[in-house]
Amino acid sequence: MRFIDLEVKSFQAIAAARVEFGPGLNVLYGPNDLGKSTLVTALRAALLVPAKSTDGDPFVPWFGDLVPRVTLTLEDDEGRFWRVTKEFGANGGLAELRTSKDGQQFSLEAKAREVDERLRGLLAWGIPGLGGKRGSRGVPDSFLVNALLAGQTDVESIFTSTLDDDPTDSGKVRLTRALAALAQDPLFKQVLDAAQAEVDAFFTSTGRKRSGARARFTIVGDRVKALQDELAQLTAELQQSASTESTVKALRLTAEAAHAREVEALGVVEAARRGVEQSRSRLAAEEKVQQTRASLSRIDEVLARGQALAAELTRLEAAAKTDEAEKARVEAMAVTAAEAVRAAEDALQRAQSEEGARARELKRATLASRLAALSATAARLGAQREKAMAAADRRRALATAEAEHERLSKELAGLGGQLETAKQNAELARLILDYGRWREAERGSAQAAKAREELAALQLKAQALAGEALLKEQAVGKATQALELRREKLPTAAALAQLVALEGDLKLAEARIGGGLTVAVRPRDELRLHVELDDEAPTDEVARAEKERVFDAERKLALTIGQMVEIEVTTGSKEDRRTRDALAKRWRAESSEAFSRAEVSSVAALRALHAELEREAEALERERAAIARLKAESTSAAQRAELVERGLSSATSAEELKRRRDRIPEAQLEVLQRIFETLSPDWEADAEGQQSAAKKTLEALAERTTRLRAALAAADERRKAAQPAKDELSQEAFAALELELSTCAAEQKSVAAGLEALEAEQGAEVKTAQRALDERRQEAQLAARAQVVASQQLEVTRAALNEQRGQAAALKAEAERLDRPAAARALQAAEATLAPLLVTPVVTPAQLEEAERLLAASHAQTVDADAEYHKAEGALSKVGGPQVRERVRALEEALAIARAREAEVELDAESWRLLKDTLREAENSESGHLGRALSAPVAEQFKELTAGRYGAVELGPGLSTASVTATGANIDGATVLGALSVGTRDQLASLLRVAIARQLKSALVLDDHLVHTDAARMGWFVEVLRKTALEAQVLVFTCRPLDYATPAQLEGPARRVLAGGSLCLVDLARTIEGWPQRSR
Amino acid sequence: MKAPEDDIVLKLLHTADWHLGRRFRAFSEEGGLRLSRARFEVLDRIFNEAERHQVDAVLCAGDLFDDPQPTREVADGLLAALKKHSRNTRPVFLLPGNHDPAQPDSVWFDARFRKQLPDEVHVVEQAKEYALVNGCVLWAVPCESKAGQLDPTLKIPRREPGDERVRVGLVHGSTYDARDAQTNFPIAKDAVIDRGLDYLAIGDTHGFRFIPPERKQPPTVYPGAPEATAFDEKDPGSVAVVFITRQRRAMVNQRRVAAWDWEEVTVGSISELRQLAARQDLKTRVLRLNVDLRLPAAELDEAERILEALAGTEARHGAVGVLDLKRHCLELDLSNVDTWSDALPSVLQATVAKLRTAAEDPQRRPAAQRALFHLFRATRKAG
Repeated sequence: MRFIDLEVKSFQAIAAARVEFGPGLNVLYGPNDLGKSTLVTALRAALLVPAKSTDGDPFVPWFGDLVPRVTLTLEDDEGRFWRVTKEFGANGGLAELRTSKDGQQFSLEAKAREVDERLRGLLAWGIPGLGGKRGSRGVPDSFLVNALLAGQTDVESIFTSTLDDDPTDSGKVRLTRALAALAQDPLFKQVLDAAQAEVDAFFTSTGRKRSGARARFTIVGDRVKALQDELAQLTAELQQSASTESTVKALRLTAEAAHAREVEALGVVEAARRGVEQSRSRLAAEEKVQQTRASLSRIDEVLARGQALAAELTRLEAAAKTDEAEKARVEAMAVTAAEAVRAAEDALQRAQSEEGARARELKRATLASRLAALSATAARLGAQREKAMAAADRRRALATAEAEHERLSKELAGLGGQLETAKQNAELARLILDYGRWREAERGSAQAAKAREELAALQLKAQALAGEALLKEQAVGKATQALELRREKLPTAAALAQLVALEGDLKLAEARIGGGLTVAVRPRDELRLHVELDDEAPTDEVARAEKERVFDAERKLALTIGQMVEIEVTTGSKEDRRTRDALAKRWRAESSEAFSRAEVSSVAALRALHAELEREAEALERERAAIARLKAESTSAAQRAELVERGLSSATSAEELKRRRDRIPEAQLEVLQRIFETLSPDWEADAEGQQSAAKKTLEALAERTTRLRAALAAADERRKAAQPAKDELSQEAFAALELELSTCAAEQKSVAAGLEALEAEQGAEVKTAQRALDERRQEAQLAARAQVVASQQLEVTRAALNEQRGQAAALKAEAERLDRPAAARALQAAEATLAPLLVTPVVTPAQLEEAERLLAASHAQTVDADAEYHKAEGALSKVGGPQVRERVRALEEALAIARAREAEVELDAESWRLLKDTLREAENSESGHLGRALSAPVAEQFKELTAGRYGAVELGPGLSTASVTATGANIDGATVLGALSVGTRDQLASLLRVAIARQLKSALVLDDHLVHTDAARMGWFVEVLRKTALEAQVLVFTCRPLDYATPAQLEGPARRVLAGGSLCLVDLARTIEGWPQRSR
Repeated sequence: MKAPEDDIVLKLLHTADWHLGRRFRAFSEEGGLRLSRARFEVLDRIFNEAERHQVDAVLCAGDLFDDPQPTREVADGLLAALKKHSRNTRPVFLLPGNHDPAQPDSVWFDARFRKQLPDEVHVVEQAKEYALVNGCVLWAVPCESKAGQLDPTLKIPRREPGDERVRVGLVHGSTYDARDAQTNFPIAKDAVIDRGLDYLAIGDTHGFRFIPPERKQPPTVYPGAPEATAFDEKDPGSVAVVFITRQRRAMVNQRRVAAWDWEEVTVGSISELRQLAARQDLKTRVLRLNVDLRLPAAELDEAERILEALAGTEARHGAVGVLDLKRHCLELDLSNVDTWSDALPSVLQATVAKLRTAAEDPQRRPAAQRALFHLFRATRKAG
């Protein structure tokens, strides 16, 4: 801070005075009692005394009833100019504070009490605000007031004064900051500078992350963002790719399944074809069996016929013998008949004689006896014949019964075979059914296991979907709440629109002001420029000599050139500015709350936040829709699971499965499996049909068998009944009996005729004898014919015998040709061939046709599935496939690395900031002991001033002076301090003040503080002040100007600026206007 | 290669998976460029190998470009290599893979590219039989999309009875025992037998291997990428030189062509790090270095300097060819901070004390540790 000028009116002894100060050392000289100290008082009053306070009472002019008035212009550390004007008076006090950037155009900044509030804040001298808790009445005092603005009589007060006694710590803070640099260890400073440089590279002065294109955060952040964006795009592509691949997979599996079904159908067709072939083979085998069986039957028939023929032959041979015997007998009868003819001829001869009569009588008696005997024989033979006739009937019945019995037995035997076949068919059908059902149950069980897996998967899926939905729902709930919270922080759309409109108005108003302005600076010498363009942050730069520097601004341009001048250029009319200010004020009022609530700094940011919220709200809405879909999917999965579960309940239990398995003989398993594999899909119905048909056949056969058995039993009964009796005549014997009976009848007839002849002999013996002779001759002819018949019979019998023998020989030859064992073996072989064929089911051409129809349908499905698959596969050419997966993986890796790098940069930034802050913190706590920092330069100068007589000056933490060491002395420093001479103490006190002012770069007022200093030290001291004035303005009020300037320098105008502006001499005698009444 | 020379009827060089134009995003820009360039540089070594063995044909089994539409620079890079090694009598078969499928908008149908290809270079646009020397034949089947679920070898007809010619297959895809939907262009492991081939040249997997590993006759071989593309690849960096005899026996020789070795190293002590830095082979290494170290400040400083030397700076090349440094487990051991902080001015000691206190808070620990290390280095630098 430095003072620019001071204007005093009606202030104690001064009627009027105006002093313009130089930037360096100002020597304000004048004789005693001129009013030098009054000027100092006025200066203090302007800075420290409230205009309406009674503390201003002493300022009233000594002469006249006027209002004391002081105007002080100063420049603060930031280069801003302030002008304070005060008129003192408890009743009519007035205070105004004006400000200016250029020191020319001042604008009102504050009035009345606010003036002092502002000033005290500006000075930061440890003075409390007005009426504050620690505010005190009277002229305010503090360490810095004492140090920088001490009155003439307060020279030594600096020794006892301490910052710790200040009402507020603003002075201490200011000094601490200023002294910190002084206290800095070089190493510390280097570390701090390094940390600060790093922090500056990361953060702006307001602590925000730097966001320029080349900022470290931007580089790593942009990399992360670019990778994230790319990854998001690729992830979407990947999802599409996966979806397409999944569809193609499903279609491919469908096509493969269709192929498998077609192969299966083809297998069925082939099996059916084989079945048809096998059926043909079976029929052929059955035919073969029948043929071989017929052959065997024929052989057996031949053999039986052979046997029958042998019996017939035996019978014929016997008959031939009988015929021969008959022939012999007939021949004998013929002989007898011839003899009877001869006897009859004799009788005729005798009849024709007496002897004839006697002979006739004898003969009649003989004939009668013979007739009686013949009758008895005839009766016996008749009985025998009757018996024989009955036996013949029985024999015929037996033969019939035997034939019937044989036919029935054969039929029964045939029926047994059919029954066996039917049983086998029924058993096979049953086995197929059992096996098939077991297999079906087993397959059902396997499918049930799969279904259970599917059920578990479905239930899991349903749960997972439900869980996911719940999680998402919770997340959405939270997000909605968070969104609402954020929405509450934002103004409503209407309010935002209003704000936008207001901002537009403001911009319009600013645009109306803005017309653009350009300032060109062409410095003669290198100088520092402080530039503010419009509302941008001020910048500092060094403008090089003779180089033109051009600044462009829209509305306002403030330019501070070194310490010399501040120029502010503004555009627009006053009215426009007022409009703009009003709008700006309204803008600040309306926007600040909205901005602070939303933690943003612009309407654009608010609108962005609004838009972001809307987008997020829309995203949440989409998320809710996704949740609804998830829930629907979950429900669908659960319903499907329920369906599967219901299906499971009908699955066969393991026990049932085992029971079914146990019903199938182990040995049959393999055969059944082979058979089963060849069956059509409708095998069960087929097998059941076959089983049912076989059962019906079995029943019919059983019924027929029963009937046959009954018939057989009846035949057996008849056969038994027709069995010949023990005493039954043989056929031959019967024939003999017949012959004997006819012989007997003939003989009886012959004897009766003899008798008749004999009777006739009584009348006509001769006639009779003649008749008898005729009869005998007739009989002889008969006998001769009988002989012929017998011979013929014999011939017939012999012919039959010979024929039978021929037949027997032929049969024997045929029987020898027929190989019964071979025929039996052939039958056995044919049956063996047939047996395995019997277990194969009969496949009909209709069944084959059905299988072929199914194959064709299956093939059509395969073709369709293939077509659909190939069509879908085309979509694969449009997706990224594994390549996208690879790129996603690579990007994820790159993103992870970029994030790690970003984290590394964040950590680096945070660590540098932490280091810088910690260094500052440590520095602050370390520099709390301000005395350490300040004592070194003070001691150094004091040592120089006293030519090494005194050494270290010890200052307390609050800068109170504790001790001074005397070189070589054994006395403690406090004693030395107390023992110093008045002049030396004044010098030490002034050195302290100078040191403080230098550190604060603040104006220092010394009001005749060195009056007790000798000329030598004074010269040294003036040099110190001149050097000090290079950094801080020094105002010396003195009555001994020659201590500071040569007589020549003192000549001339009342105010003289020398040494390039660094020394300003002011003759107060010619500056201060006293009261007219006052005599000098 | 034990067969007498006159018994050999066909010599082949089989390579694949060049991935020209691949970008290595996980590495630094410079490292990534170096690796991208390496994919072109290896082409010289591949064709030199073909020359050395005087092979009858060069089979390139797919994924030669990383993308079906490579930049002009990438396409020209391949053209330059092909022109440089052009031998009229040695056909080169370029097979599109799933990365660079033969689609209408791909480089394979780009007239400019095709026009510049030397005459003996054949782009396999569709499944086709090619005649090779000595009556041998090549059946090549390209990928026509980036994804596919059909076995490409199914397009190769089975060997006809009585066909005694040497038959070689060239396809691109993944071998699996059972086909799976997620498998891209699945190739049955017994395809070489099923199709009656004497050698099946395939590409896709980046490491050299026989498929299945135990079956050497007739062979199905992945030569692998000639330069690796990732750390987890097993046995990359080779080509296969194949000699086939009259008796139709194929002899396969793995020949290394890579210039770069990919290696992952974890160092758990400063001495291990020093040993690593002393290695002479780092220039040709793509090194993933996991640093798991907790070191006192001085050693940490040394470690940082070593890591800087390995990685390089803007002004100086690093000792490692391409470095992927994982350093999040590198931290300062706070237990003996006093050994160096005692000598510091009091204000810096106070700073150290405050940072140590901050490091006790797990949240602030990483920043505090790093700050202490910055402080250590700054004082070292200043002092």
